[in-house]
Amino acid sequence: MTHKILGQLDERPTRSALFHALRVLSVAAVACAVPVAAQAQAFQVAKETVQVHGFFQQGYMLSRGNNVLTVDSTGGGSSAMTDGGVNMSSQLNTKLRVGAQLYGRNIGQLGNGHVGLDWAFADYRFNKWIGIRAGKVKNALGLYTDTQDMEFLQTFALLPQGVYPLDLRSVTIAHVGGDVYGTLAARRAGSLNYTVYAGSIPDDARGGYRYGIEDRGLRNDDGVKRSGYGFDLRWTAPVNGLQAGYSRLSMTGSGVLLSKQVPFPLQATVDPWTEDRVYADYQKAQWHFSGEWRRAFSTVSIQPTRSITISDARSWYLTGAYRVGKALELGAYYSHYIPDSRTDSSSPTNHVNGPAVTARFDLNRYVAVKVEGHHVDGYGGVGANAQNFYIRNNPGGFTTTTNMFVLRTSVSF
Amino acid sequence: MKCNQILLVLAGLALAVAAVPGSAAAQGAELKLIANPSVAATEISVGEIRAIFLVTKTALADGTTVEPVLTSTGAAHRALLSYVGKTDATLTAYLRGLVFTGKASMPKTCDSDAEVVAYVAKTKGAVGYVSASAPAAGTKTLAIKGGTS
Repeated sequence: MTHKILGQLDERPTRSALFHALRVLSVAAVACAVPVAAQAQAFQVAKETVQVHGFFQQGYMLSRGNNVLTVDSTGGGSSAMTDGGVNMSSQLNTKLRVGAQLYGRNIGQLGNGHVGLDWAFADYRFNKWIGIRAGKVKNALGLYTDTQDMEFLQTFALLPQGVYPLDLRSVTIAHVGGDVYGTLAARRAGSLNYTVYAGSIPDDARGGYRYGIEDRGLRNDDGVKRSGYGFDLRWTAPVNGLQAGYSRLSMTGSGVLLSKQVPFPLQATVDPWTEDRVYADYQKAQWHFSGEWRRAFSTVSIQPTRSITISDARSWYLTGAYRVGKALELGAYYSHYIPDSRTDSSSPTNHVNGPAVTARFDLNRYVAVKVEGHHVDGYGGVGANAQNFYIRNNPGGFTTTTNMFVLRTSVSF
Repeated sequence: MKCNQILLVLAGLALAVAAVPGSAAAQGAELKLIANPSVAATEISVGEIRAIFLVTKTALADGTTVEPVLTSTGAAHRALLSYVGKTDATLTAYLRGLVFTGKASMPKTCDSDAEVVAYVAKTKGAVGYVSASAPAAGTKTLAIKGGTS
């Protein structure tokens, strides 16, 4: 009898995993069966053409070791990994375009299915050297900050988490303000694209940053107010397929923290709060390589306790991918993250490193399925620099390593 | 993974990439660049082809506004990909990246040479490409500077 019950318990995760995996794959199956729905739509408004595009992504995550990204990924895994967006845009004349995108997600405990304005702006391009954008605009920061939600654009189911943590997307993803951008051509030396921007950085009450604050036993009810500026310089080399660049985002922030241990509110100020990125991307024939280095530096001062916390995180990744055929691409990367570069990184509390391998199947032009394996060493900065791993999702404590399987489908049109 | 292991892997990949032959010139003969008669230019550089089809340029040097028209398959499309330095998958991802960040509209994509010719013929400023042997009534053929079209 005991043996029978234990046998059932052993089978349960396998059945559950199968259920979740089938649920994820059914998204791809339905999308393939209804190809008409996966066509871009366009309609006319006052003689102007309005394009409509959208995407939907469903994932399944199964891990051994720790629960990751607030998803209950151990045991039978979880398919609480859903997101999607829809946008409308119109080129009103040769220089002016307008558009907006809605985006919502439910990744473990993050997002909760809330749909919000992802970007919305007017863009006026005077000539190739200069243009302006005003509204809510995605940040030009490194290779993928502005497109990190659209996994269907990437080889990988999860971008290298050391530099593009899925849980902390909203920390750097967009600003409400203005951009100046353009292209400076240097003929034999290629061209240089520049973007300079300034504005306020929207807070995300359902994001990983607030979740991390709560993980430390603190509360932040009124949000984190941030503003700042940034720039991106992107060189397109005369060598076909090669790009390299440098980006910086510099912010200041403030918010009120509440703690059960302290009978008065704490005023937290972050100044400076900077991100630096150096990156390169190279595509030739079926090969695609990219690499990026990131430094995230911040000084947090708390009043009236007068405590100061300095954080100096470093991370980098290298990726390589090869398109075997129209329907299959294989890729791998190595991601490296040190939450506090000023101290010894050998402890699992101060690094999150590891490789990932991926197979991406393009079922047609609009539907992709990715199968990905990760080995993660360490669980990083729990508390102040929590990223990917949270105490609340791992109440029994952390294990040193995590093995993870990710299945992700995407439909886009 | 140790640093020297990573470097070894990277060196191997670099050698593999270096072994991939370039193909732009060989593909050039398979493509005919066509434009709506409203486009004043009669020839176009490879750099302009790249800029038009990567949507980084919406007007030619003479001020003519242009609209790129893509096809989804075929020898002409493969030739175009060699000019812009991308595969079909990376070109699609690149254009969708622009669309989903609001920076550009998705260019018109046709399924055949005949559809490209029909669209270019009726659309002011349209620039497309077809097989070198395809009839292109109602459009003008643009010569490629230093090329074969």
